Amino acid sequence: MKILKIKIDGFGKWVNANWQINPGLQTIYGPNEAGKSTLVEFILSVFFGFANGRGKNKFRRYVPRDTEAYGGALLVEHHGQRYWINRKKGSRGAGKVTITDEKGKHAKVSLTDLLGPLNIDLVKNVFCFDQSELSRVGDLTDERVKQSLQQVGAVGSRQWQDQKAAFDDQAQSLYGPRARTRPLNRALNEVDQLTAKLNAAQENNSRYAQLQRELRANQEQLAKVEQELQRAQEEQQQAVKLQRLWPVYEQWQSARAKAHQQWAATDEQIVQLQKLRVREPELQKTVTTKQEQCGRLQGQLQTIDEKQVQDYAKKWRGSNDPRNLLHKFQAATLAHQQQGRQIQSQRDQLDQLQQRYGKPLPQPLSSKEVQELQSLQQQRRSGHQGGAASTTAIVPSVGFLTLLAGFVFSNVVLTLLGFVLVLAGGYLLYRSSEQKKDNTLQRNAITRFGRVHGYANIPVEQWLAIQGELRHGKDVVESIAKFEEEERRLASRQRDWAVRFADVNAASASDFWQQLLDQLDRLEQQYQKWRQLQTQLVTAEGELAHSQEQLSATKNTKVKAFRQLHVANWAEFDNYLKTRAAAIKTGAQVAVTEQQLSAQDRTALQKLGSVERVDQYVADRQEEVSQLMAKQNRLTTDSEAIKVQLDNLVKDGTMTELEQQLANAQAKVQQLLKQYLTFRLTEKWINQALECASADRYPLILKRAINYFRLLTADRYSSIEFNSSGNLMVTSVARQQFDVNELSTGTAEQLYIALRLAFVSVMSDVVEFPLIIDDGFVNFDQLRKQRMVTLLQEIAKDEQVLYLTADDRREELHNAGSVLDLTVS
Amino acid sequence: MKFIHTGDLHLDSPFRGLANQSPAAVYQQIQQSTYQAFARIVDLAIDENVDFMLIVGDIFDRDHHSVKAADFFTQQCRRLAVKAIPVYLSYGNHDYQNVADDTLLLPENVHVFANQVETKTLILADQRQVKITGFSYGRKWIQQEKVSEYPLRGNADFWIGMLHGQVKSGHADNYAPFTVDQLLSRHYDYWALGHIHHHQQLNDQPPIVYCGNPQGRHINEAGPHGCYLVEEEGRQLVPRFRAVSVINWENLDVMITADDDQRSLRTKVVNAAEQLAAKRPQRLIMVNIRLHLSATTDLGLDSTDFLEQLQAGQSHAPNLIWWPANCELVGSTALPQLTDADRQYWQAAANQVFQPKTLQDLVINDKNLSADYLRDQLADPDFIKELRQTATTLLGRRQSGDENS
Repeated sequence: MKILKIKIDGFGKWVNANWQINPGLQTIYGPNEAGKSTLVEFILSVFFGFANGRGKNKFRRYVPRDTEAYGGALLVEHHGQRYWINRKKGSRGAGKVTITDEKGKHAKVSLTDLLGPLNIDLVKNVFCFDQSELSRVGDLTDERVKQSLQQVGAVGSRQWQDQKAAFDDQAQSLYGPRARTRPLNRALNEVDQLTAKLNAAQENNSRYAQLQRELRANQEQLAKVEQELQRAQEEQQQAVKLQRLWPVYEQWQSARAKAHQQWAATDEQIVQLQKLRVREPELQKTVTTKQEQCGRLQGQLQTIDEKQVQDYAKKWRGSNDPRNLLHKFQAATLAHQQQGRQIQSQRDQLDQLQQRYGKPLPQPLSSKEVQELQSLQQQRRSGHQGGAASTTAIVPSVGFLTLLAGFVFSNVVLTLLGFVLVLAGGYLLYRSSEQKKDNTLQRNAITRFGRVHGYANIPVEQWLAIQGELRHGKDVVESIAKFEEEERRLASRQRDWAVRFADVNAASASDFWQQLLDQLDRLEQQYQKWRQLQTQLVTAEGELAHSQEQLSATKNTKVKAFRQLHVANWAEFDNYLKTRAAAIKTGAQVAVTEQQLSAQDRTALQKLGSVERVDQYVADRQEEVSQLMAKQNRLTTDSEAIKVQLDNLVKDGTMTELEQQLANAQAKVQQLLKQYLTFRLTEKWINQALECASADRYPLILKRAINYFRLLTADRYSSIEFNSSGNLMVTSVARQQFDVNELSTGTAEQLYIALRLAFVSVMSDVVEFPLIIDDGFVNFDQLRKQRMVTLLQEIAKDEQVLYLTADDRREELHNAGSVLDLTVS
Repeated sequence: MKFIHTGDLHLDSPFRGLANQSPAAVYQQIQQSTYQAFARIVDLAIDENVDFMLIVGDIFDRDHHSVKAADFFTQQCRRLAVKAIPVYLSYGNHDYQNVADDTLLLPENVHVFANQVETKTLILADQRQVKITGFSYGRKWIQQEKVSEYPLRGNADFWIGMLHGQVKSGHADNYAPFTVDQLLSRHYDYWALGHIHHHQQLNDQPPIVYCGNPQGRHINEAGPHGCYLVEEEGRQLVPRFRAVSVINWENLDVMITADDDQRSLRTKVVNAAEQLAAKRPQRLIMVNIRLHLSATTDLGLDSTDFLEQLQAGQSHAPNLIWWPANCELVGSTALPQLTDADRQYWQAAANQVFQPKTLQDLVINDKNLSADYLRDQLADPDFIKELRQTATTLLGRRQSGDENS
């Protein structure tokens, strides 16, 4: 894009101004204040809008004072087409743009179409080139020069480098690793100091824990001491009480000592002893009585015939009711005697019968024999009468039986009778057999019957009739035999008894038994008396022994009691009692004192033993109490002190304060560090961006720059290139290589211009805009300026160059292109 | 059954990010805030007559707490002791502790979990049984997963897990890493988590809950803070958040418009802050002001200067309900037009420069800048982004400033 005409309606000092502009190199001359800058500003304003009116930009609007018209137009050529770009005051600060063709017809293009990515910053930084930018090279340090040269390939590299430097300055003003007073260093220092303080304050925690432990230990100890103190105080009170009680105790003790002697006997003992005193003579009397009784009984015993007692014992004792027996014997004897008289009459009757019917008297017939006889007599009546036969048979039978009975009963009478009867029977049998021999068979039978039964001598006819008498006779015989038997038995008994009782001289049996009875009575009486006396004596002796024992025990008890009471006799005991009564009176006093003294007190006082020791005890207890109180005080004080310390630690806000201060200081550090890092990173960013852009563009830039550089240095250098380390090197025609640091300021400036213009040239391939050089080479000498102009002419073959200068040596430049003299309007 | 779940008390820990001194009124409130917040939790426990309180670690910083903090904590526990409210306490990574050597003389109602996972049993007034499983940190970092050491839910009316830790992320898992599935696998009725300062619920039923810290201490802990009051409802335990924080941190976003100048912008900020504070009465609001820049609205603002001006204005406010704690510029002006032709180079350069390595290179040999808190700052991936933004703003601003020179 090239500017062909400038038409200003009103812009700063310019009103209704029109200029033709050379599409190649156009020199614009004007001294200071001639309006060169205004002109450049106008061009930029048409393209990019009027500066807005705010802030510092207020003075960059160039609103004309003399006219209402504001703005103007540029005729530009873009890709072979010409357009009028007209900018006038509009509703917005930037103004209103209209684009027309050369004839004033509205063109169908926009500014964006014409400008592409260009903006005012880009234009200013890429296409505007002024003295300050050049002179800067000379002012820079070697390293910055190098950077300037190496980073030319970015848009606005000069500005960016300045900014980079500014950020570095700002970063450094915030912080330096070894600095002290810069804000971040100060803040870091404060953090360190606060941390140190905090660490010191942190000690408080261990101190707190320590104090807590101490307090706990202390309070445990205190509790113990208080417990001990309570005990000690109780003991002390007790001790004082004991001290107060000591006189009482002494009094009690002495009274008790007195009382104690007399008091060997208790009241019970005294009562007991008094009882003994009564009992002893009583017992003595009993003993005497019993002794007399015993003597008397023994005397009585001596009056008894011992022989009789012994006889009785020998003959009678142990017998079963001998009296009754004797009476029975006596009765039997008397009965027998009476029977003897009856027997006599019976004997007489028997004698008569025997006289009548023979001796021995035939036996009565049994009922069978009677029947036999009757049958025989029956036969006899018809022939024979055979009754006698039976009698004949009966007599020997009876005799035999009687004989037998006599033997059996040892009865002489019976035996004899039997014997007789047997003989009689024998006779009868003989007769009967004689009769038989004599009589017929039947008569023989009766005869034989009579013989058998002893009836031989009795007429047969009487045989049955005499049966009553015979039976009676038989009974009599038996009674007599019985009586005689009894007689013998009684006699035998009497003989037996007489042997035992030889002393009895009795006239009769009954007398004998009577005498025996009498003797029995007599002996028994004696015996009974003896036994009674004997029993009485044993009882009396037992009682005597018992009484003597009691007496002896009583005496022993008394002796013991006396010994205990140290008295020998009752008289002394009476004295003792008198003394004792007095002692009991004293004892009452003891009891009174005793009420004041508990058993414990007494024990305690007894243990202590003396008033000195009681006093010592009291003193010791007081000492103990005061020691414990002192200990308690100390512990309480310590406790309080610890509590105060703890309280102070708890209340001590230092730590909290410090923590917050530290947090704040850290926040400050973080804030400053962020700023610092922002500066540092921004600086790096810029650097990196410049490096990136330059690295990308340098191959092209160098290609063009070497031509410019040779032109500017009159071919003294042959190449510009980066060495392997990435440093920019220039090579002289003499093939000497120089690091850019080694170049003279002038040469470095020339190199910078070459690179800078090469950059513009490279950029122009992307964005096209006239190169605006404002008084760029004012310090150049004539020769160098000439070379510069030559270079501009060279560049102007491709790009439009607007060269603004105040150098009045312009004439020399005239041949280099058209000159617009602003001083000529 | 009713209990309080809290943790991360961080008693006595300072507020971070306050580069400038605050006025005494603000300063005092700040210093009291962590205490007051916990005291309010204790008030709540007493008012609600809870059955017990769970404190899941980080009562205070092991190495940085004042005696006052230790004393205060003990006092508050005593308050609960008077009301016979037991406290179940496990230490976290900030107050890690060999429990056997614990120097803190806590009252009888405080049950401290051992360094190994253990289960404690509590019999409620109605004779129901609550089992609580947990452990205390014995060292600063616990890389191994601890959940596997928690027993499966056994026979109890309620089973609660206490865990101070962080969801497993795959890198730098230094705080007893776990997954929600692992927690669910224990079949507990409630998981009381600690460590993360933003209160949140990781699972609805059974609740897996981070209680957050009761008092936010910097802008990263913005919004209301408090504890959870957990109540039995039917067969479930239902947590409800209760705000207790004394001071709230809030972000205040203010757009800078074309019509603004610095004075009008200040007025705008103050009005917005007052509106914000009015929404949260009874609390001091620490405001983090985020001024949103745009390409065309750069007022040449320096956030530090702007903050100081705001603070100067607020420091004499009769009724201080908000305090400008911090000011940052968000977004950035465009790079100067100058860079347009070289845009690709600038972008490339920025991508190369704004890397952690560049930062490291800048500080690596500088002992002054090796402190932990600075390393943390430098390691923050957002920090480099912020720096780039600021640098961009700075460049844009420089460029426009230069136009005038």
